[in-house]
Amino acid sequence: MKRLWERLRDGPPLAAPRWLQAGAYAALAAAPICLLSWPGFMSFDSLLAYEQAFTGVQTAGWPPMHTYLFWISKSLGAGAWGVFVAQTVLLFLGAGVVLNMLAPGRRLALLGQAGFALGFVYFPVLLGAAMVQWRDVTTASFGLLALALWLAAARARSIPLLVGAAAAIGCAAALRYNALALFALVIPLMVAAPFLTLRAPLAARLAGAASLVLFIGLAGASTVWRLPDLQRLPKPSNFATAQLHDLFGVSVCTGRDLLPAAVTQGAPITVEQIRRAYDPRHLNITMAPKPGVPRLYEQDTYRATPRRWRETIPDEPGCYLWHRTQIALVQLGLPPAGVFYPTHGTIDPNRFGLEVARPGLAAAAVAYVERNAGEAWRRPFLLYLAAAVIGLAAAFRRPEAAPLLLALLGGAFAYLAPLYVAAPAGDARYIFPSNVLCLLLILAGAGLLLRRPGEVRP
Amino acid sequence: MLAALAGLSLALSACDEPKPRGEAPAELAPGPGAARTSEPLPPLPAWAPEVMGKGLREAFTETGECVGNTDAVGARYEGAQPGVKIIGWGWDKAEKTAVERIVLVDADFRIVGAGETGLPRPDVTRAQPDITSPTTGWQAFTSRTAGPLDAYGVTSGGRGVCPLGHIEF
Repeated sequence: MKRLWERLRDGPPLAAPRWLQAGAYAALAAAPICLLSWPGFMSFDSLLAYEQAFTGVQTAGWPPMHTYLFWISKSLGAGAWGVFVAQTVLLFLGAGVVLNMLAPGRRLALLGQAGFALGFVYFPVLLGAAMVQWRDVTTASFGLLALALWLAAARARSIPLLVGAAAAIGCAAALRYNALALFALVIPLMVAAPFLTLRAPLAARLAGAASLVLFIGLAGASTVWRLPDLQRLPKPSNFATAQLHDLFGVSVCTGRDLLPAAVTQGAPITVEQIRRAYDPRHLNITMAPKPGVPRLYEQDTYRATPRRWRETIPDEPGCYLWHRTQIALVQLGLPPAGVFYPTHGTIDPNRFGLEVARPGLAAAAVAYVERNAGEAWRRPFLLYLAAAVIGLAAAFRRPEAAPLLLALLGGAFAYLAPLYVAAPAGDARYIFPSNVLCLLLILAGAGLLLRRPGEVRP
Repeated sequence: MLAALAGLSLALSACDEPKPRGEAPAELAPGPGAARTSEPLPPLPAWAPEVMGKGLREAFTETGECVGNTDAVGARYEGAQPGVKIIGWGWDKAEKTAVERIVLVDADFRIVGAGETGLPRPDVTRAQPDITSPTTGWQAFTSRTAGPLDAYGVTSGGRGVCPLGHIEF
């Protein structure tokens, strides 16, 4: 018992981060991804963020941090591609450092890094999202960077690195409202054991807590006030899309038409027709014209959807959960049809002249992703299963690393929780941050399982 | 009053797509700006009873393409049969003609009023020369005395509708 306590108290043995080696690995791993979709596929969200880098932030419907990153990139003369390169390199840099520090020996660290990169090929949903300038990827990049900085801080007993980790968490949270869930257990651990040992000085605990409060507070403020004039942004109003999707799902489940009249603009619709229209993957697919179904309209002049949602959903918790589960299952790739929207595959028409540099190469990569993403053994839910099994086994075998492993595993699963209630669709990319965290956990956990007790590399 | 309406129409014609406008400007809101009368609500057009009370898309399944606007409450009837007159203008872009019939729908997309075009709107043709009819003005009547309404022009030979704007009163 005493030995277990001592191991927990001392924390996991951490090897050198080897930032330069990890940087070289990151450049090597990021290069093919960047080449495939250069300057990065861009959908409506990313093009809006890029446009706002010229016009100023106009909406908080999508967190403005993405716009600020594009603004920095533009100011440095890198245009849209700067953010793409940075997010891809940071993703692999963070993973490379974490694997260097947790793997038993350099050879296994290199194997882990190779495994992380190959994981993007094996799991096409990872490659598919990484080729797109989606905030989900940038969020994951800052998340892994935060983890790398935290481990480096723990090894070096460095308060500045700890503050850097908190800043990276703040950046991730500023990019996605729900990103804090990824760090739901990491944050308390950073405060309680900032250097992953219970022997941390009070100053480190205070610095960890204060910097987390500061940067998470700044992340919250960035979604309320815009830079540089600090004007208050209008409140985001795009939750109505998810609410309308909910009303379709609950109507299907209850067998009652719960849709506001605006959806059909007064045309009668039967439950059978609602069933035919409903698709848990996306509201747009649900609303698309279908034979035998009245035309469906999304315009909601009178904000009837939020009102109807508030009136009906609390009375139908079972059916609400059924519908939300359908969406979550799509995100995880559990339905027979496989995953939904694994990549964007293009740069939407835009006024900036942005277009894919190598259309042939990009088309081949997109075809690979779309062909293989739905294969039974390459779906994202497997990442969570494997991460749970390996993470728990490693936590059991290496109690000194258990708090870290359980915090990461808990974060990966916690990330799914807010999406369960708020995700507007079943897009595979929504769970990209927790997908990559699971992949990292699988490799780091495997490394810890292979490490001999007490083994520490310089 | 007419001058105010003409001025407003000219200003609004810069944006030719109908759109929700929220609260009506003070000069067009019921009260001092809208004529009040103790007369009853005028009768609806002869074709109206066939569609009154139906859902908008139950009565009209197709979608037309128009420009136009819902300008104001033109009159408030406070007699035995109360109601209001809504005024605006409408132009069917596909047929290149004034929209002939108008329906008013409530927040539940039930048809609660009807009317017709034929009123002179020289301000519209002045502002938009591609609109060739001088009589794109419409008036429609409803027994509703309050609340939001949306106006739609009837198009496609009576099978379709197009939005002509929104009014709160």
